Amino acid sequence: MNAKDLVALNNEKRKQLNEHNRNYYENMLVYIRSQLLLSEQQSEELLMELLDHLLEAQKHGKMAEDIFGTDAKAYCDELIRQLPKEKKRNIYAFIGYLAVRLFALGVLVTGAVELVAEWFTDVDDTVYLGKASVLFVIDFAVILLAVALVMRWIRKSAFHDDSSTFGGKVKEFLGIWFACCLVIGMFVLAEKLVPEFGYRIEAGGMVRILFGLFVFAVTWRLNKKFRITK
Amino acid sequence: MSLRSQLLKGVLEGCILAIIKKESVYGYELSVKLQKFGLNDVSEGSIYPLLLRLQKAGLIKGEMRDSPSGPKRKYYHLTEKGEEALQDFIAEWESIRKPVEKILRGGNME
Repeated sequence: MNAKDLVALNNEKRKQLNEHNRNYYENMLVYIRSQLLLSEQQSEELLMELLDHLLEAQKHGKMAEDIFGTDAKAYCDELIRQLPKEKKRNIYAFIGYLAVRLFALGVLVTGAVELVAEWFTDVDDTVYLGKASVLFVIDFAVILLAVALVMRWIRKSAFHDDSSTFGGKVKEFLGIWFACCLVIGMFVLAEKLVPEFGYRIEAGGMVRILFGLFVFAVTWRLNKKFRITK
Repeated sequence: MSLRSQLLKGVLEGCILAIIKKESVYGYELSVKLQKFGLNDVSEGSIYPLLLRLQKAGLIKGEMRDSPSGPKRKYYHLTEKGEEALQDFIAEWESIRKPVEKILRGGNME
């Protein structure tokens, strides 16, 4: 059973937990899954074991606290210390896959925008390969950083979830809003600051869309073959 | 970590190895067996960090298999290295068990 199957089975089985136990368990689940550098397979196998155990204990009238203790975070930290890390090769393959996907998406979106804009005005199709590569690296780094920050935030809030209160909701909204502004702001800033340099090519809307689709198809094939996202 | 809890963990690990040697078990089964032997104070969840540690050290191996009751479970079995570790543990345990018992009962030195 690979990690993806385990996640699906976990979603199904979790429904059998009562509300109290489900709350307790789901906090642990979020906390452990947000540790992106741990082996996904091992983490999911462990989460399934804990769930099976809790379900069995629930049948005997026990609560999650009776099994995992009153300090769920301390318990999870102990588990995390013992869980093996994801293989470096898998992490690099996944990041590389994301980078190529992002590249294809960028090409597609700018292509579509240009295609529409061409109807109304004259569009400059020039792409400076030097500038485009630097921008891509910066944008990708910003996205990775944002993901890392969001995960850290999820980890921190896993065991004191206040998203049901009004104040909690406002805080959550402001947090997401701020993160989005930061990411978009960095994109715009980079676009303005990086000078135009490098080899010049002309790439119109249609060309970009076709190229973007082609890259997507290639990543799709590679992913199927090497099971990068399992 | 305190010496006391380290000692308990070491003993518990030895017991887990001994149980797994007899037959491969899954997590819940293991905790039931420990309790049936009378280790009631061991909180059920505490076996999972230990199982992970024993796996990491290569003493046991976990495998997802169909269980008699239906769903797939992760069954643990002892590796060769685990077998050796268990023998070491038994030898160490035997070497301290008698002296400790004597001391605790207030007996005389030989």
